[in-house]
Amino acid sequence: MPAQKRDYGDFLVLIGLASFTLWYLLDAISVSAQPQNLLLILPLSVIVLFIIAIELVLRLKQGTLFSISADEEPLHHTLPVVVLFGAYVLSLDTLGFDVATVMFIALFLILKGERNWLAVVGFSAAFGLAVAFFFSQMLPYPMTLLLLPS
Amino acid sequence: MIDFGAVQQGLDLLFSNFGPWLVVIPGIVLGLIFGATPGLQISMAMAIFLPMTMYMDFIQAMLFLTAIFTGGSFGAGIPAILMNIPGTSSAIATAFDGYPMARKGQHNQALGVALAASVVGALMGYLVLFFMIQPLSYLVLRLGPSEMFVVILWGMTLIASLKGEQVLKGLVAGFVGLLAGTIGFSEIGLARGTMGQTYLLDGIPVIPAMMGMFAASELFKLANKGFIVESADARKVKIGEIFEGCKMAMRYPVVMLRGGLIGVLVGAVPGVGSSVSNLLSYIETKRRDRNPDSFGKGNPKGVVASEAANSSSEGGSMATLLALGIPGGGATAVMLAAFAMHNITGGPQFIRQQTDVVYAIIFANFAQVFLLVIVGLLFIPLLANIVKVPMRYLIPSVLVLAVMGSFGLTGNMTGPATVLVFAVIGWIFRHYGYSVPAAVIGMLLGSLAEKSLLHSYQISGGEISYVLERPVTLGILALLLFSLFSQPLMARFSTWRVAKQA
Repeated sequence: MPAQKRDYGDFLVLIGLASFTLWYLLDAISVSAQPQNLLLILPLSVIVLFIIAIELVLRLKQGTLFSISADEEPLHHTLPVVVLFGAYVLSLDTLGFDVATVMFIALFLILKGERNWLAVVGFSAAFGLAVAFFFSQMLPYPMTLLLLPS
Repeated sequence: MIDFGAVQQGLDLLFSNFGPWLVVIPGIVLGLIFGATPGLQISMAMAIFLPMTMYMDFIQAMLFLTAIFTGGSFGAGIPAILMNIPGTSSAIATAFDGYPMARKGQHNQALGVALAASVVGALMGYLVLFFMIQPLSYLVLRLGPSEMFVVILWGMTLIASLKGEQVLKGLVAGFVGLLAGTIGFSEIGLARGTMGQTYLLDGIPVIPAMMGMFAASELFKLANKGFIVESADARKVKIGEIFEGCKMAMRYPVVMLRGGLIGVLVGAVPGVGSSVSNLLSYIETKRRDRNPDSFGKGNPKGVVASEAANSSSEGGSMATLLALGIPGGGATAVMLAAFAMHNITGGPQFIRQQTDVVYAIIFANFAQVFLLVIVGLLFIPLLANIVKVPMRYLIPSVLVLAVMGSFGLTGNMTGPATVLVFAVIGWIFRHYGYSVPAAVIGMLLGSLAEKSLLHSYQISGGEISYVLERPVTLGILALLLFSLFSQPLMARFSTWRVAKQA
């Protein structure tokens, strides 16, 4: 049974979804207020905002606005992996798909406790370069590569 | 209904020489590999190998492409079961129970169940195509935009309410997904929600978004686990257990039959296809089951329902392609390109004038289904070894494949960036109990829903009474309401009956 604890995250997610819905509705209206443009967006946005309001009112009534059943895995446990993945994607254009991939795999292995350096270097280099080479040959688009021939 | 002269000619076309059959096994293998690799799509495999079909005759080209389709439909279920990453959107529901089965150490049985259901489903799809191609094409013609819209709405509502205990969150996720699916240029040429970014003009790249929300976000959650299957003994690939899984699937003929029929009917609707049929079949099976709470926790019926439906959708989408010349999705769109390369136009005239070719394609697919059993059984043990790989090796490898695959889909950094953004959204959604499948399906169907609604509005001139003249629309609306309220009503009825008996 997941632990009950005070958590503002879920409340913020609901507010975030409501904000996105409201922003998108206003953006669509600013583009054109014709019925053809708002046929789906307007009623759907109203429904979403209505459901979110119901959810918030229900929680307020139950006194559970900030306390929800949190996932058994705290967010901060997986945060380093998310940050590493973000850095990988953002570095693809600079480091090239080959070098960025090799570095991402190697750093991931180290982060998750692999201490066999031969395995870290061997697997990341072999898998990373093989995948980058395969895709660079298969895809009809140019890929940024630093070591491999493009 | 069946032209026996054309049947004879179709058989002659197939068996007069061995040429057409040479491409079938390579096609199934290619389909299995592309379907089973997250990020690579069946349509991508077909598109990459389409130029090769220039050097084949039409029958051989169609056999090759349909073999990729058949192999890929089953292949997509393999990563869904082993990694909770549907290879394509047609295997989303396979992951709901296939992956929990794998986590319980029943990955061999789950793969066997999926193979048997896929084979029976695909066979059903082509059998229905054989007997019903003409009536089915007539039925599809009767579906107008208003029917399409209510079908989407029905599907969305059902999907969003899958997580029984958090229906409101499911509905929010699904409807926000639908809204996000309309970002970009609308049917009337207005750009909404693009924030001035040109790469959003065509909308959010849905497949990279799907890869981010399904694959990457789940992998983040698994980052601290040692193996997909914790027990070392359970990680063993046992061919006997795969056969056991095949037999297990046969214990649910009704689920298979219902999945097959849903797959054919939904697969025949252009633009909807197997992405929706697997979910509808799953939901219907769960709804009708005596123990709906066992679904999502490793119930083999869930895998049977999903795989039978997505495999039989192939037959349905082929019906639309052959009878109307309309592709139901990416894969049949590539086939339409193959038609054009061979100067052939699909449609009622094609069926009338080249009935023998149509029957030859159908018969070849019967044979492909049996070949899938052999090729599938040979390949599953190889692919199932994935559960033996430690997560610290598996996770970065799959993330890399997803990033590369998304780059392949968009041809620029938009794909990988979309994977990243939606991986984070999916991670947060999962953590706080929002339905990730509902959000993804919403995004997939958003623009189609808007287009259908707009066309209905244009046809009706804005008159709501138009809906009353559409009996099919009303019928589907009634189904929608029934699906929404039947469960709570049945629960109340059961409580009342129990109270009365007491």
